[in-house]
Amino acid sequence: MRREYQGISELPKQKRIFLKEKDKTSTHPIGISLLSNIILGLIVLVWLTPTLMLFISSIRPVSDMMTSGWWTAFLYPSRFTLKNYIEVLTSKGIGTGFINSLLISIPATFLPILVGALAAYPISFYKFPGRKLIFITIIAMQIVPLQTVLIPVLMILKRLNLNGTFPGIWLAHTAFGLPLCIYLFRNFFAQLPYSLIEAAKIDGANSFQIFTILVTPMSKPVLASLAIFQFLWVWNDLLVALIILNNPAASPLTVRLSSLLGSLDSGWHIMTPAAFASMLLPLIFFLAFQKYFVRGILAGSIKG
Amino acid sequence: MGQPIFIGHLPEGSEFMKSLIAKYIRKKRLGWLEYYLWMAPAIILTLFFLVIPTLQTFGLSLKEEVTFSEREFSQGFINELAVESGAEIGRNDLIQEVSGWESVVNGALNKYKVRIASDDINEEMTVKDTVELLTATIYQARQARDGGLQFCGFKNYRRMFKDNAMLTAFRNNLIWLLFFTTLTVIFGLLIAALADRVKWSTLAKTIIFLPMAISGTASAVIWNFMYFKDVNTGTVNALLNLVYSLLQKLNLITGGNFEGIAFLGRPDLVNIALIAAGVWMQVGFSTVIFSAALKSVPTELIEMAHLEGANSLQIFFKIEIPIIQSTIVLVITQMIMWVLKVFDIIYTLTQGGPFNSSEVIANRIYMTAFNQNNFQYASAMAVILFLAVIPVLFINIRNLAYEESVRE
Repeated sequence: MRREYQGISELPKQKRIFLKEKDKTSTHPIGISLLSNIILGLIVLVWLTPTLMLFISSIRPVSDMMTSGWWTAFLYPSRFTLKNYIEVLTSKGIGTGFINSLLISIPATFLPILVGALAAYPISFYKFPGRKLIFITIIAMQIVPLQTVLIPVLMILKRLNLNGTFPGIWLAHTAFGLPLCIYLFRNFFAQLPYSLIEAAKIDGANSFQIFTILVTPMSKPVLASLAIFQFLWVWNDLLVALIILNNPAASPLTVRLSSLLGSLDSGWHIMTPAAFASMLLPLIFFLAFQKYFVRGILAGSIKG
Repeated sequence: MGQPIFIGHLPEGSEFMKSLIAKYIRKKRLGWLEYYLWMAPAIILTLFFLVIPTLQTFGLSLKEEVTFSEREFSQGFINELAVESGAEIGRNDLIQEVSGWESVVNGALNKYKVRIASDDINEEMTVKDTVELLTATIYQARQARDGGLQFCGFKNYRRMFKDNAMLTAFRNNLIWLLFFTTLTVIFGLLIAALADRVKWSTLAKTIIFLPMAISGTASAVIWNFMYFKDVNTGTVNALLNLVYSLLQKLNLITGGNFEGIAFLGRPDLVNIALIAAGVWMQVGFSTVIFSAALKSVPTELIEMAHLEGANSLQIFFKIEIPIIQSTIVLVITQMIMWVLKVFDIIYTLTQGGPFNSSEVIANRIYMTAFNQNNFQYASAMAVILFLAVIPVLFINIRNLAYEESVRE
């Protein structure tokens, strides 16, 4: 059987996505063709080249990097070295940047998911005045470009004495991540078996118990999707960090990398391992949770 | 939920309220008040970090910094002193020796609606000292009154149309809109369709999706290296060189060696070079969605067409594309949103250069706000950006309202 994934345009049916298992073997009904293999092979090669180039370059000696192409490196496999990585992690602030990125990303991934789940829970399971208005208002905010809100947000954080601090950027990322979190939770909660929750209510469970004992354990797929989404978004973010975290000591990898590239005083033997090191964690998470990432994209439009 | 905490937070002496709430809780009738407690963090954060800031940006865009020229003020002040006293006045004359000085000072104070203490101007002060005191007072008062801002109508918006960097940014966003959107849709469709027809589609898609996990900053590093002008180290130029020398060998072109192209240094090529990097980053997104949409095309339909003798291309263009039409529209709107906000890769790769030729709105906003410290002008640009996404906002809300109506 072919999968029944739906585009975002067909929203009502989307909720199935989370529960459907991936059918890996399905191919087009007309079957495979040699030409398809060749064209796709070429495209995949092109798409892989930039990442591969960065990785190979990052493990080449400085002298080689600036005189010969990375593709010649395979001729001298013995010259590959980790020296660049050692240099980059111990100097140039990349090691600190890595820690800062972690310190920003972990709470900024956890908080919006928690706050979003708390809000999506009554919206999905109970009826009360203002429910729809609040839901639609929060979801609509997903569209607002961050550039439109960042200047006043910076002023608000200044008034709270939180600009340039980690809690400041946690709050900002939490707010910016909320619309997507609430949207995906709402979509997911809508497909949970409501009879279970009714039964729990009859048994005398209060809403807090239902949330912690019943709803949360069932929400693992959507939690995984949101965690990977939000983590990639925060870890890779440059704009918010640049503006809200206007504090050189606390700046994450992206900001440091960007200023390294701008200053041009550090050579490419610094740039390439620094860039690859910054990609390492997202790539690992991405490869491990790709399934959930894809489901997340399908279940709700990605934020920008 | 945590009712005891709730009760504890009530002020002392409201025993009646406490017992009332306790009664409601016992009966599990806290009702919608409880639901609002669940949503409170989300509501507060959305309000203070999204809703109010959006409105503030609108407000800020209609203001400008108060222009107060100290030089003009001091010139005017001295002129008035001269008129009042009927004598030539120098900056170093003692102020109180000028006849009629009090009325001139009071005139200035009234004009700018500020006050100073009566003994602030003493007999030792010169005209220059007085001007300095007055300017400092006026400046402070303005800052305190409304952050040194005054309403200026649509001045910031009109300014954009005379600002060459901003006009280039508008043009470039349009170029991005056209080429980036077209390329991501075509490549996304192509890859999704091809992946359907090979046995290693999981691997292929993983590689295509991979750049989505890479930050704009790291992508900028990658593409800076890819676009090196040197034909020995720059990957793109090395490939071009390969083609060039091949053509040379076949005597199709004559002339010297290939010199390499500085993609990021040439105003005519920089946008296309950046768009290519953007497509590399974002094609995974359209592939994900198209791939799922193509899988949802009914198998029977395709098999039937196949039996009728339609070939693969005909099936793709005549059956599959029309069926996933709405998904294509959706991907286009998503890509438009991405393009309007594109920032990281441009900020890191070119900073809008060379000579502003790769400027985009998002980069202008950042530069105007944080390099030129003009938050008001930057806000006006941000409002334009916001207005550009409004149509997408409406499509989304309509979809959402439809979804809600289906659900209930």
